[in-house]
Amino acid sequence: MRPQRGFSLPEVLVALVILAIVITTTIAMFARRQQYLRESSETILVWQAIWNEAEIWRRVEWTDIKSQPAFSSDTSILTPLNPFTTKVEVASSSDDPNVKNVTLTVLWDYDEQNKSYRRNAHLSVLRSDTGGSNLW
Amino acid sequence: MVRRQRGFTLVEMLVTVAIFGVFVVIIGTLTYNMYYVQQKWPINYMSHPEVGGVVARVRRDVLDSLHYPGEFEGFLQTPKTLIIYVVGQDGYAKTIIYDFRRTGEVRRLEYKSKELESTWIGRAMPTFEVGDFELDSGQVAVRLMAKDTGGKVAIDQIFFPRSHP
Repeated sequence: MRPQRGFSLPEVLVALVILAIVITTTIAMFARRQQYLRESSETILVWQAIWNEAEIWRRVEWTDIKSQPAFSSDTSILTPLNPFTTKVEVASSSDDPNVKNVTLTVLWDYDEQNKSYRRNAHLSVLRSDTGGSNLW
Repeated sequence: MVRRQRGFTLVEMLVTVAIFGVFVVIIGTLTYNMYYVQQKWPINYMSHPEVGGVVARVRRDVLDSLHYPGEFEGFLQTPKTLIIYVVGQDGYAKTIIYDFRRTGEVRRLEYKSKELESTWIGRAMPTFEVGDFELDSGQVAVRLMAKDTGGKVAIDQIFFPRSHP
């Protein structure tokens, strides 16, 4: 008759530890992948909104280049990011009064505890006074 | 030989069910997260080279555009058909037609005078639509939008023509 015996307790424990490591690592990788995909989708949407706004600010008349509390363009593409904030900040160059720095900002991924946004994207466009009509 | 038979004890069953429960919770959470992401965010078409190709072509053609004819060779200017009259790099005028009417397909037809010079077809495309966006100064941009199969806006780009002397 063939002798029969089960696994010993240390054997089972070692096997379980290895299995737990493999499963935990796989799940962690999966979760991280999901996070990267989500952040990638957010970034693509945000930059489309910023590009559109930049197209507008490249063409705005020099005298109309002033800070604004929100983007002028349609930001409906950012709907999945709700709540989000957009703003346009204009600063005159300290070196040359005929140059303005237009900074377009999108803030999203609101943190309720810290009352701040976790993610942001900025684009700065330099505009200069050509002294005549708009070059664009 | 009489084999001794016995079932699992209550403690063994409880431990087994608890371990199984942990796995079910983990898998359920992951599945919910996947579903949530899928429902909330549109498909990332910009990582698709063929779709990026459509956006890049429209951007270039709008930059080179002089005007947008109402109709050309049986095509009408509609949200599903964009007709652009351009001056190309070679200095010759061309009429470009973007046909977004077929589901999952985009056609770019390039005419020199009335003669069809080239056709480019992109497949596995989202549903594109063309609109316009006007600045306070009166400058008009072409607005290219695309929605994914769930109806979420995945692409929204505005392109202004460059100024021509």
